[in-house]
Amino acid sequence: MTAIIIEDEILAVKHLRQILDETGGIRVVEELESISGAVEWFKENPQPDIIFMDIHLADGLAFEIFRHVNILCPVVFTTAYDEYALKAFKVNSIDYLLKPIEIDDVKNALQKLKNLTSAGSMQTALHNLINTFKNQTKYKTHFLLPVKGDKLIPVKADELACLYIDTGIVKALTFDNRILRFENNLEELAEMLNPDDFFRANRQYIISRKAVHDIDLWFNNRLSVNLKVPFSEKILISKARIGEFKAWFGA
Amino acid sequence: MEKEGKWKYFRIAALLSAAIAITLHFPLVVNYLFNYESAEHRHHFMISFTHLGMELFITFLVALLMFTLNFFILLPVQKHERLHILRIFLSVILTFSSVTILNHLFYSVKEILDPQPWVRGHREEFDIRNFFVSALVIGSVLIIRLIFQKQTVTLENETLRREALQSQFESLKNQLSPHFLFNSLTALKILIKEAPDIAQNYVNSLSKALRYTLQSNEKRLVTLKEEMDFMESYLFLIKMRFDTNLTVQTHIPESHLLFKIPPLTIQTLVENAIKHNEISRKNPLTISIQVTPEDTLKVINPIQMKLTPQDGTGIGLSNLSKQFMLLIGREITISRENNHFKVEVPLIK
Repeated sequence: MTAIIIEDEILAVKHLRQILDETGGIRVVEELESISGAVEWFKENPQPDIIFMDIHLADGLAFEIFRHVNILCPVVFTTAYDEYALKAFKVNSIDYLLKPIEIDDVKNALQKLKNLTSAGSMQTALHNLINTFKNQTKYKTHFLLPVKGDKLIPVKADELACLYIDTGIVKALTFDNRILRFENNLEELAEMLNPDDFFRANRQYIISRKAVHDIDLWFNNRLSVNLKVPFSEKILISKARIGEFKAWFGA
Repeated sequence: MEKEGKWKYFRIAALLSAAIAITLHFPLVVNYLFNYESAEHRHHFMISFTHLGMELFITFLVALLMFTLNFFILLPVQKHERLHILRIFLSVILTFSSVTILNHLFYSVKEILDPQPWVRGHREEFDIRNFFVSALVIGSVLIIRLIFQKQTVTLENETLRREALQSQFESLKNQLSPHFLFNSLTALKILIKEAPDIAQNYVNSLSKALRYTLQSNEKRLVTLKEEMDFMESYLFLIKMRFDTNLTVQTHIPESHLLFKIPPLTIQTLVENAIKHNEISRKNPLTISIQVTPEDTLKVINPIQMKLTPQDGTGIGLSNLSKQFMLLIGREITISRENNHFKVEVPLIK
């Protein structure tokens, strides 16, 4: 049985290798340490009989590999401790090993693989797993933003009262009246920020719930939002979005 | 000041103005209330309700206007603005002259409406009254300012303390994070078998590092020497895991070993670099820790961004920044140039 190990910590690789040797019947054909390395390798080599894969790799999370390569062989994940991952594994009944790995666990995993009915169920399980992970991407709570040339400052998402486009540049006004420049565009930011706290008022503005002072009725059945911080522009919510706004604000 | 603060100010101002009006016209009030009984006095000196009301109202109005004036002169625009002596001077002059002018104006109007000759008489009384109104208003505004600032400071201290605790908690959690611990145990397991000597060192370093982290909340500042001793253990653990893929260069001259920093500062910066950058055979990472001629500590690493962004970007850094703000009122400098990420923290003498 051929196997590959995808793991970035050298001692962990050594350890797993040793255990696989002891288990017997497994030949480790390659050790890979990163997403990019793994993707390249799979493009040029036939897939092994089994893959042992750590979740945290040198250049990111292992799930990224599945987006680039269609992996058909069974995968056993290894992890030191990941609350989210463990939950996802249990839900999707995917095999995983906890570090430090014990030989009996490896044997059990291999036994389970033999009983596995079809490769199809594994595929679905992996697919579900990746989706679970995508949905669990946490919203950004902190940003590092450029000020004065090369300098960066850390800013918490809570500090932002409103984000807006000013002559093509995305800026944010903080609760203490600072104006900060963002490198992302407003669409990206709308996805990064927690939708419970931030609302995309229109094409120009994202507002924070905490910043809303009061709301006026405006012409054409629109709403005008007044912020707690001094802001010269008028933030209007179109008729079509009022329902969504009220649902957000009331939530 | 925020909207709520403004409301509060004007509510207090209205109350104080009323108090000032009543105090200054106390003789009149007493007169009005008690002179009813003596009939003969009443004839000569009787004060009509309109008269008393007007007197009180004028003083109230003048005081309130002066509170409004001083709102713009004396109250801080920024939270930590210091009160310049010139502003007090300006306030005294403007307040006193406005009070005089306004009183003149109002009393002229009043005389037309309610000609009661006997009150008009004494100029001195008039001046004294103007003086008292001005002094009371300015005094009150200064006290309000003091209370306001004290409240702000207390509130900020509370926030800062909470943030410092939060950052301690975060670093503790990071350090003791199950992920770190179990990875260390995995490394240890193989070391015990293959290199028992190194395994012993590993256990020593792990205990040292854990102890230092656990005790870090006891001190607000440690010497660079203490932090670097700990870093030696910490880096030993980290490097066992990353092997030659991670290099940490430290250059700290002996002359700077007694400078101080908050505990776990360097660890936070190194950990941050490890967390957000690729460390592999293909792309090894070199982190450099150095002291600059300006007595700051600098941690630099090339940017080797991971393919999947790590959550929590900036939590460690913003906590650290707040901690420095709280301790010495200076922020840390984070910058990015020539594809290098650089954090500079001030050293405390």
